[in-house]
Amino acid sequence: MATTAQTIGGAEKIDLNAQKPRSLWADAMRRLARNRAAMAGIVVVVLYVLIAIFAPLVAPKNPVEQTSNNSLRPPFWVTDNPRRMPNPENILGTDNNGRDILSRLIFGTRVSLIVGVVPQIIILAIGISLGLVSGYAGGWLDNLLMRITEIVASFPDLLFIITLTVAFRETLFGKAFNGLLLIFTALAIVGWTGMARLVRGQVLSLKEKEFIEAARALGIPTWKILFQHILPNTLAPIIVSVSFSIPGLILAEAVLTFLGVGMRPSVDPANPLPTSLGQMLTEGFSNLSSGPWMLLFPVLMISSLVLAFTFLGDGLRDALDPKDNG
Amino acid sequence: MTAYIIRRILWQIPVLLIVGLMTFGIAKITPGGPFDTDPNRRQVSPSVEKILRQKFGMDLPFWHQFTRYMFFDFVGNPKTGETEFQWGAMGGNFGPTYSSRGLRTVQQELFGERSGKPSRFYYSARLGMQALLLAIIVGIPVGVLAALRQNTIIDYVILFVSTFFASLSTLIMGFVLVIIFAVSLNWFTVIPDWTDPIRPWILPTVALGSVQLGFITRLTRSSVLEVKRQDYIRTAQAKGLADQVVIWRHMIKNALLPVVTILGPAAAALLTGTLFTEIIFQVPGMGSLLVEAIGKRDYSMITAGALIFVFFLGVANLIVDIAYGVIDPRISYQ
Repeated sequence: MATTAQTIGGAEKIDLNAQKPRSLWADAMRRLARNRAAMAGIVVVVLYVLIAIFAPLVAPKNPVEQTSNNSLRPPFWVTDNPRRMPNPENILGTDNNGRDILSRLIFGTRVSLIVGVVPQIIILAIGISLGLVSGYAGGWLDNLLMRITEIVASFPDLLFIITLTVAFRETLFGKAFNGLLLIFTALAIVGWTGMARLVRGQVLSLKEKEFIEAARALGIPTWKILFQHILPNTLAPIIVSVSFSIPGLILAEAVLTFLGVGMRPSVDPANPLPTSLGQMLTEGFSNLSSGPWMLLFPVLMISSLVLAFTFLGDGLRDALDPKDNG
Repeated sequence: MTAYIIRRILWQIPVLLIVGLMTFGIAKITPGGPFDTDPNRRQVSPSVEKILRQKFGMDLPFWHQFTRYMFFDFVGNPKTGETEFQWGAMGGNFGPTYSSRGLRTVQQELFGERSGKPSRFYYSARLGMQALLLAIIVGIPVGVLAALRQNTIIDYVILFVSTFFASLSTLIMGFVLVIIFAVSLNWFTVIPDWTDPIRPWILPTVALGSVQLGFITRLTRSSVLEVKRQDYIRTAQAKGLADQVVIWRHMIKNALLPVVTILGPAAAALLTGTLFTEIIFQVPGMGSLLVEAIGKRDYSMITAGALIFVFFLGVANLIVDIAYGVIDPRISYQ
């Protein structure tokens, strides 16, 4: 009996030595790499981010440059209308103002990605700090903060964002960056509640764990416990939540612009952020009968972008939380 | 349970008050108004503006305007000289709309019939209910099917399509439907004929319901998969019950519980979804009216819209919570 036990113990030891210890994150990355849909999502996202960063180099034309006698040209393969033949210079056709749709798509993706990221950073800042404080402090402070969160969350978010954007649209603040600054602020003001609740929930369960108790017993200052011991352990759900929230923000911009309270179009050729996908959808919808391609291409672009983030998010969730693979 | 319901209803009161205060407050503190002489807007001469402002009580202090709008006020009648009691939003009176110069009240615009046509509320409510029904009736069976055929091609297709639906917004779905069915195939006209009882409803219902359909399908699928692993399913199979009985009596009944919880957020999404669905498909409902009101800065209408939305949301969430407690006796509300 004794020898068997020893052999088993020895075998385990060899096993442990043969295999390099893997961290949670390395494990998650391996699982993610095996997920084909998620990898496709990453490829698309990275591709679009590169296009967005190098938009002026990639775009064949200036996105706001209008050429006369070149409006509403169809994409190059549509040649069935003799009165409206495609212009070989505009691969995806032109809009009702004679602007190149491909170039506008490239710059539009740039703005839409920025709309996905900037409010997200504000949401993370508000959500994480409130969630940490609320969860760790507990008591009346927790109660107060969660009541505030509940009220903000019970707002019909779209209606509130619209009210905010309408109210401040004509102010200097509302006109900054073609109205983008106002959109960022409005989206962040209503968007942080989910993040705060998520972080709070994580903190509540983490602060009962032994390693936090040990840290407290050692006399480590509270801010250090929060940022060095608790926050890193909440990162997995935060990352998953962010990857689902970015497409939501991109779509929210499209909705706001469609309702006429979002981004303002720019006619300045030097503007680095002249149009958004939401702007293109709106223009496309109003020219639906004369040039359906004006709507079709931004729809394809925004759908592929949103789907890529969703598949990435699904993959991240499965990879970071192996228990929940339904 | 009763105490829980009462507390939930009472909690709605501060929520409604704060929503009203914020919407109303934002409207009042920001520059510009429905009658101002901003050159970009509809112009009104200063003397007319003064009369209108007086008529709508916009010259009163803020707290007075707010309490008049939300609760009640005693208003002097200029013809008889008497003061009359007048309800505010609390009593179902949202006041006159600014855009009609006070000829029609908000509740008339939203809930009143217009020369034989149904009210705007009817269009929105019908659209929302149809979309929700579509999502439930199609989503649950399809989700169950995917789970029962896990890791087959059927499962993969259903999972992909439902992820596709769930991640795209109603807005994009609306555009996709318009491009395919109205512009390319010409099955539907872009400008709907609302005297037809069925045809004009199809595309907006599908567009509005598709996102929830995707969510419900995905949730049902993962919920059935979760239940499938439970010990009581193995017990039921071990004691020799027929597959059909295990699936219907033991699996699906339990798997549907989490699906009920999604109906609260679904109601919220459907409410806001009507805003742009109604514009894309030109539905003469509340959503399109509200968006119009926003453009005109018709604040009595905007605040009413926010209050009505929050009210419906609260009711929907309460019903879902109660239903959940009734369906699942393990849940107890404190």
